[in-house]
Amino acid sequence: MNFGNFGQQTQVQSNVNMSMAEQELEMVTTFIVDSCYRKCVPPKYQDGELNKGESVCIDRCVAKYFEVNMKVGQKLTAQANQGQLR
Amino acid sequence: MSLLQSLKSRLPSRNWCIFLGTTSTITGLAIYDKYHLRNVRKELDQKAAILANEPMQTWEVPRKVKVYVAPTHWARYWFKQYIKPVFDSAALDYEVVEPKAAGQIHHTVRDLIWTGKDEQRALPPGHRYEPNPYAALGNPLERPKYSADEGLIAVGPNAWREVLRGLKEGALAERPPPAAVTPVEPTTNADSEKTDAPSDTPNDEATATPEPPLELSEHNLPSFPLPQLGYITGRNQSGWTGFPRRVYGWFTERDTAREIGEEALKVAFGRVREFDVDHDPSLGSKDVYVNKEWSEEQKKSAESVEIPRTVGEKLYIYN
Repeated sequence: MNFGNFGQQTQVQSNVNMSMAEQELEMVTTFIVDSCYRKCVPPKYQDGELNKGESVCIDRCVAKYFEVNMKVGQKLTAQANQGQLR
Repeated sequence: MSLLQSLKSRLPSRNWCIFLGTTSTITGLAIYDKYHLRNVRKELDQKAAILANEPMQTWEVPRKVKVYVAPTHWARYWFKQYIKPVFDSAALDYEVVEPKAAGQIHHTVRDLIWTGKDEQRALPPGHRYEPNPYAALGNPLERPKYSADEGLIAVGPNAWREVLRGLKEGALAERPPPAAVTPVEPTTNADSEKTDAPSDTPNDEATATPEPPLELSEHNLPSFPLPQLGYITGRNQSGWTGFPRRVYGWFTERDTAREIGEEALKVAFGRVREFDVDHDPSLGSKDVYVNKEWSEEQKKSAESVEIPRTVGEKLYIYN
């Protein structure tokens, strides 16, 4: 982060960046963990280690989550841009 | 009243009997088959779960396989119904490569082997292979595109023959240099633009020479291991003529599921045997499908392949 000569503008930008990073972290830790854990790990298990089936399931779940997240974000920004243009 | 007359008086009318008889037979056959299909699927799932319940560390990546199917809707359905559930239960990662037209798998497989050769040539001269268990954690773009661990599975004899042909040409031949690009003449006159457009396409066709035949030579055999192969039965039942076979197949889905599921399990367990040059290239010959509307090149891609012994020695097939 470059706190150059721009002063307040950079401060606002860095606040926005921080909030975006917080959102992203919250998404990863809370949402993905909750939804993919619920879908992929059966409630009764004997071993603490992940087995292959669960690993593959979690890989796919996270990949799909990120992809859908990206697509939804793009659609929303496109809609917001259209709304702005009008 | 006699026994027959008393029976007849209790049964519904003749027409109703026929109707109820036919519908209940068909429904009964369907229910019987679907019930046993569910049991067959559960059994295959239990067998495959032996693999899925093994522990896996966080730096490991699941075993991956490339599946080549025919470019038909039926082939996709076949894979999804019979092969995919077994692969999912066995925690085997798969990538389905479906070509847009027949004859393209051959080029894809050939390019894959040539990529492997290119990557090996690009390695520094004193390079020694060091097994690195954390290799999967790096940037996927920096990972080598060819990996001998990814098996090539062909569903159906057409795909199998194309995979074998691509493998043979990839191993025995080198990638030809890219064709020289003919410079396009710039259009200066606005009037000649209209006349140039139709004359451009015959020009391109004239310059696009047919592919020169590849030189197959044992000197080009790669020193890296070739991917393991697998064949899964795939029957072409698409189209109008396939309709009776499809109907029969729907009523006997339990047998198909078991047959294909067992073959998919063999791939999932990963046990290999040496490739038999005499018998293996002709696996599934009775199911080969050639469409009348294909071009000459596509029809040739469905012909049987001969794998020379020098290549066959390096190949392994799942069994």
